[in-house]
Amino acid sequence: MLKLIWANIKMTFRDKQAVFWSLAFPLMFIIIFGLFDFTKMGSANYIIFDNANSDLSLQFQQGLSDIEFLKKIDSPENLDLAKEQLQAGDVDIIIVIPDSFASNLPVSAQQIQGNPLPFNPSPIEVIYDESNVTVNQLALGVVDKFVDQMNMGIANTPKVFSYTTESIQSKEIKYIDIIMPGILAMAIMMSAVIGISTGISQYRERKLLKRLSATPLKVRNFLIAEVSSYLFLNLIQITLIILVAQQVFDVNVYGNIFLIYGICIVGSLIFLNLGFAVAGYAKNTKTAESLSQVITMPMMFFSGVFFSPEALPAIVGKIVKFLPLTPMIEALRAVSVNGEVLKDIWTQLAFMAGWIILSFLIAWKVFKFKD
Amino acid sequence: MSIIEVKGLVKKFKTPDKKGDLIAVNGISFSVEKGEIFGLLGPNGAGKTTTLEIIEGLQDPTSGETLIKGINTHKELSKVKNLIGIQLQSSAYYEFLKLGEILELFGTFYHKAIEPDKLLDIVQLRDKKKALIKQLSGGQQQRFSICAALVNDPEVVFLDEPTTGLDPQARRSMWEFIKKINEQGKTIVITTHYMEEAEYLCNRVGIMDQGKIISLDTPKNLIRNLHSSARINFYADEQFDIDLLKSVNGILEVKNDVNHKYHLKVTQSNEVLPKLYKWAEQNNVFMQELEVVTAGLEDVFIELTGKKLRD
Repeated sequence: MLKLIWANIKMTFRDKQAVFWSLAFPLMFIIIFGLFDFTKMGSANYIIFDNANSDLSLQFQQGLSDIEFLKKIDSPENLDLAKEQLQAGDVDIIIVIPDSFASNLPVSAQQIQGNPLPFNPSPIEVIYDESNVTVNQLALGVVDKFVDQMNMGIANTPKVFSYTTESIQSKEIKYIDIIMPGILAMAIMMSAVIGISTGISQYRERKLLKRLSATPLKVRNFLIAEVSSYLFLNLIQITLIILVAQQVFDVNVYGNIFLIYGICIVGSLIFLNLGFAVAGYAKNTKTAESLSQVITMPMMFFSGVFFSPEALPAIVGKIVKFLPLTPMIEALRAVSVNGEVLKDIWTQLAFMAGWIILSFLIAWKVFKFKD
Repeated sequence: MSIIEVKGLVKKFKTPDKKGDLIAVNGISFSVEKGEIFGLLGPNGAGKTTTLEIIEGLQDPTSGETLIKGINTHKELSKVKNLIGIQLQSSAYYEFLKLGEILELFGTFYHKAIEPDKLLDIVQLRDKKKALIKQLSGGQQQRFSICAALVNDPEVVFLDEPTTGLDPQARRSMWEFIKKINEQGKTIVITTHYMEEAEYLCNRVGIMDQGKIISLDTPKNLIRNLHSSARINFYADEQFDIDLLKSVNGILEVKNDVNHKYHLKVTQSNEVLPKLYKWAEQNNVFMQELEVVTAGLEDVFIELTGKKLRD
């Protein structure tokens, strides 16, 4: 059994195509996105309307101005003028602090599209341009986080508040920090789906499966060996991608690294199942190859590897939420970028567990060892 | 007790349009004795490979049963797998493992295994131990797949068209390897559509056509029982009455072509030849380039089925 796993691993590394798709391809993305210095693209400009003018709101303003990434622009006379500036692209976000700010806790950042709507206990309004995806991801992330932290701070003591402000301020999020978890997920999806589906259908085409079924080797052991060798490959992928991202491009991983490995392995199981399903469904290697691309490509673009799925039309966005790659990327990003822990990402993990069961059932139904 | 027993084997496939059945194996029974080389000879599509794969347990029969050493190969397949070695028609092995590694890996699947070096020696591929499959010639690949069938030191070895696609020289050397393996005490079941191969290798041959075994005996007996055991060919420029030639005792059939070449089918050449000379003398026919061709399994096949083995 161990020999079979070891043989599988050896084969994978001798197969140049497999090495390319699982290692070189994702690293290429890391390097490309690492080389683009998105911080140089400028910072996000914001306008703030402080209608409260209380101690707390001033404290909030101060906190924001300490964040390097955000640049304050002098406020125009009224909100409508500010919105014009937003549409012209001179401003990226408008923050409106309601006059009831001081008295009403808790606060939450809300997204407003076009017209500000009346909210429950006067929250801070954040107005932004949806088309400006890259800036939104960063700026909203920062503001959101800041408000969250501030909330927590207020709930306790003002001292804690100033402390947390500082921690946000020192945490500088680069575009590649956000991209890296996405690429991690993409690499695992690609190598699992494409690797398993083409690998197994090649075995079938070359009649190796038939030859193996003539030996006493159990189908179960064959499958375990395939899966474990891919999981081993995944460990190398994850380590290599994170290492290159950290060492070469100064990517920060804020959360627990083992949690990241864990999420990746759970995700990999989903995609390995899908790979077996494709291998069972496709009659030959060519079909398997194109079919697995049909499965992986849309996920690569829709599930948020490079852009936020929130920028998609509402209906598409809802569908995308149900793709297996989406919760995986969300969970990875939450851990890696925001340093969230297991209890913060349980919904994503539950979703993924559901996908493991579903994909296993599909694979079980479709995959046949014998022709 | 015979080492292999095949009883009333039938295999039907659904036709591609799923309307009817395609009968690949149509009720065959035979047995193979320990230590012999048993051949299944027949044209493509005769049902040889299907028969073989049912015996090996790779396919399930529609009806009938197959036993190896008295063990049913479908009810107790896992027991059988350790007893047999299989070479599939055109099966490739792992693309990215070296020959030695493949043999070692396959060895781990069995209760007992022979060392890769010893296996490679049998088919003279020791020097290719570190090569990948794709670096081998076609003949070497076939040789490798035969030695891979011996990994578990099996009692019965199944070879499915082991020499198809090989040049005559490679085919000859393959025959020697197969004989050598047989001399080590292994029972061999082989399918082929080359009658020379069956004649040279097999102790007994079952001739298959359209899913049936139409004759089963030693190659010698099959030929001996032929109605016509030889052909006599000659050229003759003179005009003569063909019917007169046909009336010569022992001549079964006469054909001539535009080059004045005559093809005779005869019962026994040693009996017919003197009579033929006598006829030629009486009719002033000068027979040129006279040749006597003794019958082979090809002739057996033609006589049994009315068609050639390979078209």
